[in-house]
Amino acid sequence: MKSFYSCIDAFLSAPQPEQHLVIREKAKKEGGGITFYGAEEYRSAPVQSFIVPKLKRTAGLEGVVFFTLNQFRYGEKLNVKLMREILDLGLEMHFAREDISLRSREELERWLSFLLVVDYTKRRDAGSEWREIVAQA
Amino acid sequence: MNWEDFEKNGYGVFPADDMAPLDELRRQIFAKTRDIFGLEGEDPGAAFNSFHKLSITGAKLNELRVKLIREVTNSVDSGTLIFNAFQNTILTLLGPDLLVQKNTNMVIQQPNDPNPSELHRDAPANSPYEIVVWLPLVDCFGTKSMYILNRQKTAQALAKLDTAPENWNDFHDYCLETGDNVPAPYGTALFFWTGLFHGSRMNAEKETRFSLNMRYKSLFSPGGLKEPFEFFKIFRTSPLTRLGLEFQKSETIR
Repeated sequence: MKSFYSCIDAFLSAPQPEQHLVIREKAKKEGGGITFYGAEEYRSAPVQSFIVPKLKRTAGLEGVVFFTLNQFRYGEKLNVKLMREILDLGLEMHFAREDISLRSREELERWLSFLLVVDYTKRRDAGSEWREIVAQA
Repeated sequence: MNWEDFEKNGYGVFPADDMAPLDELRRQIFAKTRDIFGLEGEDPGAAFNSFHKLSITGAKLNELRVKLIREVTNSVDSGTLIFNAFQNTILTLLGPDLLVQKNTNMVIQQPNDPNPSELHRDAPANSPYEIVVWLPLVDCFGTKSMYILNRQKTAQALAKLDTAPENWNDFHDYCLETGDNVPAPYGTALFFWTGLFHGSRMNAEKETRFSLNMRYKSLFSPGGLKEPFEFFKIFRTSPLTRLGLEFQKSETIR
């Protein structure tokens, strides 16, 4: 069984146990379990400075399961550099809410167009509820 | 069907531009259905229509239906085959940069099944910029088809619901009374806007309905409340969009 690190979303109002539950299910689906837990400090969450040093310090990991891809979107732009950095450590990356898995740089490159488009449209439409969009149409 | 009618009603039944991909899709789904349900015969339409003669109901039917959906999603490229069959309609509605639903939703509606698809609209929570392609794999008519409320009727239904939101039964009855059964023979598809109320009545015809539904959305249009990665995948992009994305990748990663 693979050993995964669980990294919840510090900014989400959903109760942490709910995040852990969804993360555990994703870990199970990817043939593993959660052996270590953590979260970014609220102040550092936009730049995610906690996660890489922590992953480097934690022996025996095969990957990390994030609650959501949004954890890489709280800075000014999608944090692709960090994704590459984690993959270069030889670790798998999984995103529970979106049910996405990135196991290599090649896999990241295949997903990158979709990741960038969704990041772009979400930033563009942030704050615009569907009601307002329909009202303006 | 002209586009003015489509815009006025929010839906339309369009014939396939090319039957070959549609026949191929039906052939592949028929092969899976034969394997999973033990359906016999060589003619997909006739076999689907008489599916109820297998007398599979309840939990067993649902278990096998879920298995069929999984098999079809994993091994039949429904999004591409539907696109190839209705290319002109989809491109006119949505343009060249497209997302397509990841899973293939299938409905098997046997005669007198007391649990037809419930009244609902897709948006919200789906995006109001999506199109639903409802594809009959057999000739659908009368109660074997689905009912839909056009834009005007949907607006009236919503107004009624607003006045008495606690009285769902009245609202439901109103929608059943005013909804139009949409005949859709095999070889056509019902394209409808996600903001319309729709559902199925109990199938009072003597044949089983086999249908599937697939959603397409423009890559850059506003999303709904659902996670795009969970429901969609990129289907196709224009040459210009590919140039833009390559540029954005190099800029983002710098």
